[in-house]
Amino acid sequence: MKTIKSNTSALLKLIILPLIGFSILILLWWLTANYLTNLMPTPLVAFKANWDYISNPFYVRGPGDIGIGFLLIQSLKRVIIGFLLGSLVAIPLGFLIGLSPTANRIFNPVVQVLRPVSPVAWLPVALAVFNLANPSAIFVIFITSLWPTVINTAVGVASVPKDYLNVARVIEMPRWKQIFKIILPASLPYIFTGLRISLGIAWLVIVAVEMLTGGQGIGFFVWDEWNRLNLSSVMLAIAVIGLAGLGLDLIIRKIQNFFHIEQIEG
Amino acid sequence: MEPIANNRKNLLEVRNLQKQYGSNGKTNVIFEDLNLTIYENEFVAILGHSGSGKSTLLRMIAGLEHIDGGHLSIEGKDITGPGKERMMIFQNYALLPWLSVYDNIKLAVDEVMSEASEKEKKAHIKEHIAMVHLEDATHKKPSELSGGMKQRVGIARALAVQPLLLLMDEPLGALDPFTRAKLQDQILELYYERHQTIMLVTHDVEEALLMADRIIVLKVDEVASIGKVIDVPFEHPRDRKKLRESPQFNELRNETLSLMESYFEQMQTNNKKMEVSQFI
Repeated sequence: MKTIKSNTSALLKLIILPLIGFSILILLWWLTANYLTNLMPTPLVAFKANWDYISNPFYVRGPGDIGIGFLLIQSLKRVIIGFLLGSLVAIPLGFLIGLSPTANRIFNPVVQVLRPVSPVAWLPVALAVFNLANPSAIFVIFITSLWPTVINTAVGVASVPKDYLNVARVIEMPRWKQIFKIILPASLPYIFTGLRISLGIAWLVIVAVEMLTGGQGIGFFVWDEWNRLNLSSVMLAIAVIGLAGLGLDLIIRKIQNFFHIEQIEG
Repeated sequence: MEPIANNRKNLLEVRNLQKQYGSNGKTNVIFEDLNLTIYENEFVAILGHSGSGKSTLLRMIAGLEHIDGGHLSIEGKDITGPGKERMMIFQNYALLPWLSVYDNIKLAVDEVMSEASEKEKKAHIKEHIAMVHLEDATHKKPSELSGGMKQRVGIARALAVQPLLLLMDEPLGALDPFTRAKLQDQILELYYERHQTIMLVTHDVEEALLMADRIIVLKVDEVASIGKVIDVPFEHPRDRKKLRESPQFNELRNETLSLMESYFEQMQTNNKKMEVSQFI
């Protein structure tokens, strides 16, 4: 009896309740499509119109007509390159700020001023320098990925428990060794929190950037389809962007779990 | 009565020690002129109520806190910073949570036995894990251990460094009374086996009387100083049950407790006076 009961409650928790949430969402969509605008298709109409995209995501029928799977890959590529470059700069910079009060006084004001700036504002600067859409988009993602990782790494490094460092001092461990054997492992949970936030924001920003730069990508697809008043495709793109973002977050979590790094929930 | 009573060799010397903290313009003097000698193979307890400066004293000896005057020396050499000949055991264990018991000890062994082969190191680590009876937990992480077990790892790590002087900062403070008693016995055993010189900071009178050869009781008037030195008259090895039944032990315990109580009250009235004088 008991096992059956717990099985049904697991089913309820994992499947039925989330389904209720999505049903409400689809209902709101349906109400909007029926009563608020006549540009928007109802869910069923949209699904039928998108069937070609969904069933056949990887096709190339010309330079401007590419399957949604390929578009997604183009966007992911930009985000991942920009994110990796950003992290490569942000983690050492965060370490420096966390370790040295002097470095903190030099860099922290710059970080605090630049952090609230929408990364998209950097696009004209990037375009002026690179003269090309793709490197500019990657540069904006690079900037996006800096701040959360810098700040979280610095906080992590600065909040390594004093006693861990005292142990290292008592056994006369050299400073450079302390960085790799004690400070880095102790601040990994914070660094990963920073990376997850960075990647999340980078995925938000890429859509806006691609709307502006054009070319191939899921962001430009959204804008292009709107210009054709094809809202079915826009709705599909929203779903695809959401799922891809979820996937990115999941990948970082898996890496974190693989290395047994504690999660800081925020 | 004491293991080596007559030709005792000085190990640690504290001379004219000064320490002060500065906070918002005011300097708060902790020690003004403290003198203390610790002899080889001796088990000394530093006993004091909270705020008596006992942890600060130990941390200065460890080199984790700077001194403002006087000097500290071990085996005649001046102490200028932390060093592996003065290994510290921390109240909250200070184990690295991402390393296993074995690796936590290895971290220290790698630093102090840098010349040794991996095989020698491994034997050394295993020996010290066995010494605190943690063979079954060798590959466990600290989060899988109880408080008592964690502190045994801390003790094994400290002893694996083979220090001249073992410094314990309220090592059993966070443990329940029964685990505490068991660990006290284990520490005593190690003391007998290895002739380790130990300084133990504690606020527990019974713990001090049970373990130490000599107790240094700190008091605070305007500054902290040594209020009394008690030579503990009980033969080693000590049996806690027999001691508890001995009238001499109980008398000494009650005496020391009242002494500490009077020191504590003295400090509180002093603090009040100082607060009042600030307002006037």
